Amino acid sequence: MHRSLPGLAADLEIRAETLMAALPESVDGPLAERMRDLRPRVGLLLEETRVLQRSSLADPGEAQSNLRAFQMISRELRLIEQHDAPFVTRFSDADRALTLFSWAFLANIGWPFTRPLVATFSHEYYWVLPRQALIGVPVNEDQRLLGLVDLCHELGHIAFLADAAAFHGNVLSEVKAWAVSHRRSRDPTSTFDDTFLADVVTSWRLWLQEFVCDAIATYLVGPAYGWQHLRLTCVEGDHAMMHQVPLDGEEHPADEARMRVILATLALLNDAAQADAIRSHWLGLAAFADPPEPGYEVAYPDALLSAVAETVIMACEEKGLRRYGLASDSCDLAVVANEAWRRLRADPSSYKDWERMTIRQCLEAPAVPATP
Amino acid sequence: MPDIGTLSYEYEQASGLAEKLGALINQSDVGHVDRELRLQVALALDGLVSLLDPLSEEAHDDDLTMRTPVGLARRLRRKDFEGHSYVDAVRGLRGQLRSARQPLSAGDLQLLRELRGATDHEVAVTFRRMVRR
Repeated sequence: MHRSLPGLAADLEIRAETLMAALPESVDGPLAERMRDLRPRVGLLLEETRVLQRSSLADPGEAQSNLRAFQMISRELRLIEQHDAPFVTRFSDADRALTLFSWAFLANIGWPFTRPLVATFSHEYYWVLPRQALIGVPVNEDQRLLGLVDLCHELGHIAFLADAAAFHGNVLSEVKAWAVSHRRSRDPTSTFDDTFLADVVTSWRLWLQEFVCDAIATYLVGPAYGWQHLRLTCVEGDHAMMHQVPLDGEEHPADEARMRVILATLALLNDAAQADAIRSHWLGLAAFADPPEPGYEVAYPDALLSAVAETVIMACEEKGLRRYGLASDSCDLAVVANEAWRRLRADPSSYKDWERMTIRQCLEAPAVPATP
Repeated sequence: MPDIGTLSYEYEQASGLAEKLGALINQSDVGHVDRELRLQVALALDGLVSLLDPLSEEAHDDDLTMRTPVGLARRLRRKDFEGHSYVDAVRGLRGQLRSARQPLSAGDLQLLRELRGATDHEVAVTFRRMVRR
């Protein structure tokens, strides 16, 4: 390995230099807030690369630690090349409009965390890098309203990173207690053995963040997020798999369980009527789904899903976040998205014109305060 | 479709743990281990134990569990260490790290190096999923 490192380190330096050269000297508008430090960050990685080159790269005894240092720099560069840099070099009018629309919403809800940039060049649906506060959405999302509430799920990841303990609360302890009590009370012939229960607890450690983000989104935009979850589960055929128990390291829990978190959150926010309406449509979709996988009820008991909803509502209130029902600005995402779903359901044929008009009104010139 | 938000969280937890384990190994190699660092690694091992043996009656701190990379726990649960279950070996190492008077033994250091290797592996796997290679 030590014979390869000098060449690899030289290549790394060229990568960092090339990246630096591609970045503009200065940025303005919404980019200035999130990207002001991008060139200094790349400069630091470039300097670390040069320090690495000056170290004892040819020493076989240092090869492993040099390789680790090389990889650490390389990964940081990759993240910037793949995510941060395109925001700076390809930020479009559509991205600017969507970012400012989001910031207006964040100002309305009293968002205490970092304000993200939003760009419309994602080929992986909605995603977020929470540390960098970058959100990617698919092309044309700036011209549609129904999916925009998924921004709130991604915002949830930023909130979770900022204060995970507040948002996960004691839910994992409750999951463990549930598994232990199930073990004590199960039928001796049950196929759900200790290995299964241990996998369920471990999977909850991974699923919990997704459940939390769903509850945060529901708190922020209400029923619109439930309708959008139904839409998303329909549009690409995911409904067939809505009753999965993915114990193999999959971050996403079953869509049906996620819907129960959304409905529990709505019910706790005193919107049982909307929760019932969504549930009714959801059950219609569920009729076309594969049956629940073995152990489904063990993996996703109502009590734990409700515990997520309760914990998140409490955390949101402690953070001073505004719940969706208190929104009043006609261009607020919570208002716009719920009105969109009301109109789409009431009169699908007139929805298109209304959506276009609302996009023009709310995304072309949103009022955004200069500071978070 | 992998969730980048959750994966980036996992990546940060795994990177942070790898860094701590590396620092502890480096300090051990030069013969002086910082007390604070020992305790930090012991706390990280608390979280790891909670996922290696999630049905144990032992009380666990949810925050420490949330900071433990899930993939690491999944991988180590299937392994053993010198004839002992991995969770027992990690419990032993945790006790050694908490005891300021006890120097780390050759076995402790070997386990630390194994943990570092497994954590590096987890960093790489998670990063790869995050950047879609």
